[in-house]
Amino acid sequence: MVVQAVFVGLLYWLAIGRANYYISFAIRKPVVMGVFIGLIFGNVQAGLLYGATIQLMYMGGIEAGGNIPSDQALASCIAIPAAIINNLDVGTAVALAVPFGVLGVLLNNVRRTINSFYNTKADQFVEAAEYDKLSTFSFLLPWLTNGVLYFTPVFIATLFGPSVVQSFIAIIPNWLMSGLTNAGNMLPALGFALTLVVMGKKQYLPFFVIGFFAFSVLGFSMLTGAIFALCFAMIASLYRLNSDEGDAA
Amino acid sequence: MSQNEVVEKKTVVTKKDLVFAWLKWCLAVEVPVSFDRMQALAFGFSMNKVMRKLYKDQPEELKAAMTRHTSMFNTNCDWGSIIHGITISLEEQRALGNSDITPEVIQSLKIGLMGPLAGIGDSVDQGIVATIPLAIFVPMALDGNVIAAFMPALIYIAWSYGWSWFLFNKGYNLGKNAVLEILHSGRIKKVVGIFMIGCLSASYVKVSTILTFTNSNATVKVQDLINSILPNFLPFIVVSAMYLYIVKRGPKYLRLILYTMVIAIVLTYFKII
Repeated sequence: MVVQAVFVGLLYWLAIGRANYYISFAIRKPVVMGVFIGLIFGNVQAGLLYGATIQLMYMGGIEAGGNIPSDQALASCIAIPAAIINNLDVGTAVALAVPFGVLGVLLNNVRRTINSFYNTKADQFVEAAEYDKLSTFSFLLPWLTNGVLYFTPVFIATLFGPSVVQSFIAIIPNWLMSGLTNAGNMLPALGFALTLVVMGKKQYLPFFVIGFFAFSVLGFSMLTGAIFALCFAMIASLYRLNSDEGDAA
Repeated sequence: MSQNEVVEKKTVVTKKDLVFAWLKWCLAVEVPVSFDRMQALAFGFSMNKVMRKLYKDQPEELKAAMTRHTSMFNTNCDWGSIIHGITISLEEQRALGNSDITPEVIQSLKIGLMGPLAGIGDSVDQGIVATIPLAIFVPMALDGNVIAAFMPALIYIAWSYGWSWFLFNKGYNLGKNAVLEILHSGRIKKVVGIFMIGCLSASYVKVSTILTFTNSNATVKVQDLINSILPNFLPFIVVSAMYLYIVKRGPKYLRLILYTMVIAIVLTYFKII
């Protein structure tokens, strides 16, 4: 059982650790995960049936900006092993999958919070011109950290049953979980503010404000936004400011 | 223009460099994603070797290049590859001494393109390429067909690798040729970039209050009030506050991240957001 739990844990890491994103995105579908989990437990047909049924729940859904609406891989990796071991009926397996799909969103938030640490390390390495270390801290280490984060809950759930993980989640207070989510929704501001500082002389800030509120009110697609931006830029280039001398570069 | 034509003939980046930069992008893209800079480190990971080759005798330029390529970046993984191609070719021209290509031009181009490409790419990839094969093959998988279970995955993988490499290559050639002419007006690029930061931050940064006031005859939702005065006012405050903090206090990111998290958790605890 330990061996199988290790395999399921590793499978989840490969699927959601996102190394080689195109492949990991493709295999983390429940219908594919079902076959692999079936293989681990020596019952491909059962795994396939559970996987395909869970898949029906997650047919659409666009992960805009890397925000997963629910983690299909975690749903599969916890529900399918439990279903195969306990010979659950398909409907029960699906019902078990849903809350873990939501938990996966939380794991993703934790991962992206941890990764902020690697950003600050990256700045130090650029400053010190240590570009090999920068590489290691840009891929390998974040990937391994994700590994620990992702492997653990699935390993425990497969070994001791999903209820153990569920009771652990129940301990975490609700305000902390939603607080982290709220922080995650605010943090992109830092990246944009930083880019503004690096790129913009102060006299360009009105274009930021126009872009911000135009999008807030109208909610157009980003391509539309780019067309507006280009037109504003061309209009702006009709005027020449005295203070702009030497800034044309 | 004649100066550009001379420069164009020289290239340092080989096909092999391009392939490796592309493979590293595909490998890393979503791995180091963080809330504050998103795919920045994956972009830098992809550029690392190429930049070191281009600026091998100019350590200060190299440092500047790696700083700009580890700054905020977020796009669709395969459609966005065209940005890497363009960036490499622009950096190459810059390293070879074309002073028309300033850091601002390169940054603005990245920022100007990443949003629209993410929009188109996410819709096509996830709305069409990933979904339609699922609709076709999942019913077959339900009947116990193991091969059908893998078909949507195979189609998605083939599409994204093929399309991504095509665009990466296309971007490099584009950057070498046509785009140079547009680049002469750095101001246009800058305005486009800054306008797009406005759109992107309005779309990514999300803060809203759940405060309500109740008096004897009505309940007032504060967020509704804010929406009617100035939509997205709270996210705007957050971005502006961070901008001012960085301008005034310098780039202390870790501290800013911690402050943000503490403030968010406290506000959540008191049921304000």
